[in-house]
Amino acid sequence: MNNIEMSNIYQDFLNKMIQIDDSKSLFELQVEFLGKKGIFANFMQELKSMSKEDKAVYGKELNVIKNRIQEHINEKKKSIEEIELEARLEKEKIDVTQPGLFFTNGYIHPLHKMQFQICSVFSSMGYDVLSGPEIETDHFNFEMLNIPKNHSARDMQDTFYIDDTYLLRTHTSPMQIRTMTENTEKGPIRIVSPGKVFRRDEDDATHSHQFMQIEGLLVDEGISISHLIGTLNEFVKAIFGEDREIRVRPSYFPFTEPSLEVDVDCFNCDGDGCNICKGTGWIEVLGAGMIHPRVLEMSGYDSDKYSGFAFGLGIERFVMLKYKVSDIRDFYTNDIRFISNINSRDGGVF
Amino acid sequence: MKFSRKWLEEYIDVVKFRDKELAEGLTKSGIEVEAVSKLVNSSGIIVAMITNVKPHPDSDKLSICSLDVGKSEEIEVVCGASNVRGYMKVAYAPVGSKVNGIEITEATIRGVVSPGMICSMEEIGIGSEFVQESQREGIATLANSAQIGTDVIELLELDDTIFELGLTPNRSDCLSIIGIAYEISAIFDIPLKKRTIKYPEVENSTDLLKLLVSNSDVNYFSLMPLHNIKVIESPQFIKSRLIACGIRPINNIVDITNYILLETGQPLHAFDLAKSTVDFEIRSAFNGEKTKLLDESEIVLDPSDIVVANQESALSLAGVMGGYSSRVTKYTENIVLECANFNSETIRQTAKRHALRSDSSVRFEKGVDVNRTELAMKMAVELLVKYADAKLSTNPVVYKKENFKFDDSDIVLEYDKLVKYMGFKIDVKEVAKILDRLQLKYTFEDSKFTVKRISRRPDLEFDVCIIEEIVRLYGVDNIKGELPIIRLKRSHVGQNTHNLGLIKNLLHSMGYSEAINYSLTSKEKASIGLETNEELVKIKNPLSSEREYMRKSLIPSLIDTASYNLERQISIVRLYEISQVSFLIDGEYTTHNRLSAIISGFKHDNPLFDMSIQGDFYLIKGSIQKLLSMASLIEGQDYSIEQAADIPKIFHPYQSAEIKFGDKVVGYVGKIHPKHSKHDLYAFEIDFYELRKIFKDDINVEQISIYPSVTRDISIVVSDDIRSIDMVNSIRGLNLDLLEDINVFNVYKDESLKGNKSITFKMKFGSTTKTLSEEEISEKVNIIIDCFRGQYNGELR
Repeated sequence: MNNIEMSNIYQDFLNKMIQIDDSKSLFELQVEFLGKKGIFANFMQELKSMSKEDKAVYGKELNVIKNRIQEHINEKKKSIEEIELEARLEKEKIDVTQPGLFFTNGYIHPLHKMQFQICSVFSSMGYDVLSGPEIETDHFNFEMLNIPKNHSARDMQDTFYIDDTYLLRTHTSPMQIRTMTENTEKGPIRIVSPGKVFRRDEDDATHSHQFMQIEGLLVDEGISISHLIGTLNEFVKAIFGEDREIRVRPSYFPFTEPSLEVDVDCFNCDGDGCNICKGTGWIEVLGAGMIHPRVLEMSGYDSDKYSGFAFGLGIERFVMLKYKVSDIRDFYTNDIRFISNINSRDGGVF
Repeated sequence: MKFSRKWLEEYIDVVKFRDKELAEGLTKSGIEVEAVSKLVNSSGIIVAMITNVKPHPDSDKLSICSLDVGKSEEIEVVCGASNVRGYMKVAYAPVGSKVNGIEITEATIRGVVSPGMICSMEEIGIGSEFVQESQREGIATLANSAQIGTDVIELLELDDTIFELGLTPNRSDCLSIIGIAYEISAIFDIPLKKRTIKYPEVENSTDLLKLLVSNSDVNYFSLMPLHNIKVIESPQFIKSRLIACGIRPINNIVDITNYILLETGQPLHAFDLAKSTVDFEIRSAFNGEKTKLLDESEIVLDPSDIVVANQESALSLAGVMGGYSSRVTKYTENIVLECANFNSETIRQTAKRHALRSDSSVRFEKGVDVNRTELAMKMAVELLVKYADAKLSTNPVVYKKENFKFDDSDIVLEYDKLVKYMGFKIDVKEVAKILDRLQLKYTFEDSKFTVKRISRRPDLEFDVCIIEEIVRLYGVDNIKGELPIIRLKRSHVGQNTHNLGLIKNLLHSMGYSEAINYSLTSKEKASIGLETNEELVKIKNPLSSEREYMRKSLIPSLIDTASYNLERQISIVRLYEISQVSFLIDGEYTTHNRLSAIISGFKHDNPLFDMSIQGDFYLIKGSIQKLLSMASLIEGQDYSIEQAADIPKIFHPYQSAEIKFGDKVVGYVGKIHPKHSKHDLYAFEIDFYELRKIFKDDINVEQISIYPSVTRDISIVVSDDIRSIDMVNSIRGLNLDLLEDINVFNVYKDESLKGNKSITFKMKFGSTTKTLSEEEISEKVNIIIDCFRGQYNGELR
């Protein structure tokens, strides 16, 4: 063993290494030079039989070369692994435009979706959410709401009667009465009450013998028309968008005085006039008013101390406007495609 | 209610307001204007005279008319009408004019050039239902006095605008031109014009007529005889205004009664004196009494109806419609004019009973100003004298019910209350101005307005009614909206909506979509409910037998809904509904909330899980289990799903079970009986009230072991009648140390098993303190196998 021999070995290693481009050959090269029975292991054997001085000289030299080889191998190893990883990743290429897979879920009914949205707005303002019975008494549905006996709504023609006392409620307004009469403290009230109501109409594209309403009621001291308008403004913006404005017109309901009709500026045309708002720029969305003092008194409230407001709206109308549904019967056909389409673009059906 | 702008202008000067401004002002103040339209949509039509008529060279039916249109040259137009004659005044629509919205251009008709056309009444723009009989055939014949070249629309007083109002029931005062004039006067703050009536009082009159009123629902009744009248066509302005308001002109007498009805809101009726009587009786109808009305319908009267009668029979149905026999005809010479006031409810009932809604009954129903009878009578007489040559011989004979008088008591409105209602301090002067505009009499003292009630506005009954008037004339849109300042409180959710979101979201995640069905159904469908001892709720006045009964189960409608979808190529149906059901228990109407779900029997290869899913009993049962697990309920402990003898017949007798909370049956699950659906369907229904009661949220979280758990499967062959739940419960009952859970993984049957089945159980072992050794696990597995062998004669497969 001498210097020349050692430099030859080093050169030999470099020549071999340069040709290697896979990890298996690199491993074999590592074994050949640095393995337990490799070239350097042999040198180490030879070193044992050398003089102390030679040992020192050659030993040092040997270690330098060995370390250098080890470094080369490490470096090579790193670069080969990178190339190999790159190749593997390339093999794993997929078509990302292929459709994704998904769990098929179901959807909430559009009417309940809207009901939930509306109730949430009022819930966030501290209103309780209550529901009432579909079978109601004539007393709660009409009498206590100041709807006189001779009012056309009380005709057999318009209301489904079960007998002289019971009927299918024609609006959610009896929940105003139920809440006020059941409130034993006769204190403040804040409720919304969604539910099904019934009118004796033949079903067609715009009429349904069964539909859904939401009733709202707020009773407290010092409640004014200004509060009613402020509340409805807040509500309309929450449902139809911050840019929307409301317009309030006087109207008439037996159980409110003054009564108001509320329009929202058309969200389809921004008030310019289109077929949704019938060219007027405004869409009628709900009825409201200050609770009639007789209604308060009949429910046991002191109308000098308390005042309040009530409002009612048809959920179908809201959904039909917001999602441009043209036939009210679609809500009760329950075609899964219709229910899905209003909730999601994918349709979700197969 | 429709009103004409020209008519309105007799009472109030609104020249400076355009149609649109009037409509907006009314709508904003609570009198909703539903439509504004021109009375006719024609313009540029002029009066012309036919000077010559010659046949069309190429047609038998057409003729060529020479027209004098007031210019030096005559014009020749082609006309198809058969009533063209020389020297007839006609309506000529020249090139460039508009006929019912269509612009007239020069036309060539069978080779003859026609610059314009001669119009019929309908072409001028009068609806066919309003055209008088004499004008229905061919072209319109204009009065000989009409000046050639005059605008026909103006001549016929058709240059008018119609406003159509959607009146609320409280505003019956606006069912008249006068009422609308008062309203517009208040809204726009314009004074009403002064109007005088020329009414010739008769001196030293002797009553010609006798009047006996025997019905207590008659408040006021007056009759006025008028003589030597001429029954002819009404003057043009009356005809055009009636048409504008939707009433067909008949003759001057009938038209004038209708005209006054529209103008004052007070219904009037004219009898032919010769065919009625001088001895009038206003009485209740006799039971079974028959009469023929103006519209030629014959009705059987009810004792609650009021009739105007002579000695023999009823002459008219009071307040609703005149009689046929005493009607005014072209031969009528003397008439009796009736002007009355009746109890609203009585007239409403009569109109409803006989399905007759007339302009008269509508007004009486809603309430007529009790102080308008005299005014209306005088105005009618004035017109009858002027346009029918009527002669007066006496003053009217009048009946007035005792104490019949409008209650003109005072309404006291406290200023503070007004401020509280409006939400801000409105200026007292502003309030006073509004009351002035409404022409209400009032005083203001001690912060109180005292307002006198008036018969013109009977709806103004108490203080809040006055507040309403102030609000609407101040302009609700001028009130700034403000959110109320209220003590905070948390929002409560009603018992029916508690946990609803959680349950719905879970159902949606399992692929169920929500349905909402009608509560009303047919007797047949309502009868296949889930209860047996509860009676159905029946509607007294259903629209059809399909919607006659309240549902007492949601399942029948879900079967229909599922079938609807399956028949539209939607093969995987998963639907649920949460709704009320109703029934009678011990004579009490009861409503319960129920949750029902339905799935179709499908086989679906799900690419996501690399497995197929089968729509069957176990899938619907699994949905209930998942749902109840979310309510922290454990099968076998809190609830059970077990076969039972008295499962409702809507289910398959051998693929159904009852759902019990403890001992209480709260619902059912199963395959729908093939008798009730041709499709393969599985459904459950559960009482929502019971579910809500038992809903818990009290899981104690167990420490998750840091040591690995081990699972083992064993397949045991047992007799087919052994229930897997019993086997699982037996093992659970052993309370084996280290056994975390045991469940049925698979059930397999084939011929080689000879009527037995092989059940694969999956067992999970684990410890929180160590990694388990093979020996420890095998020991427990062997105990389980021994248990199955001992109790169920089961053999390891």
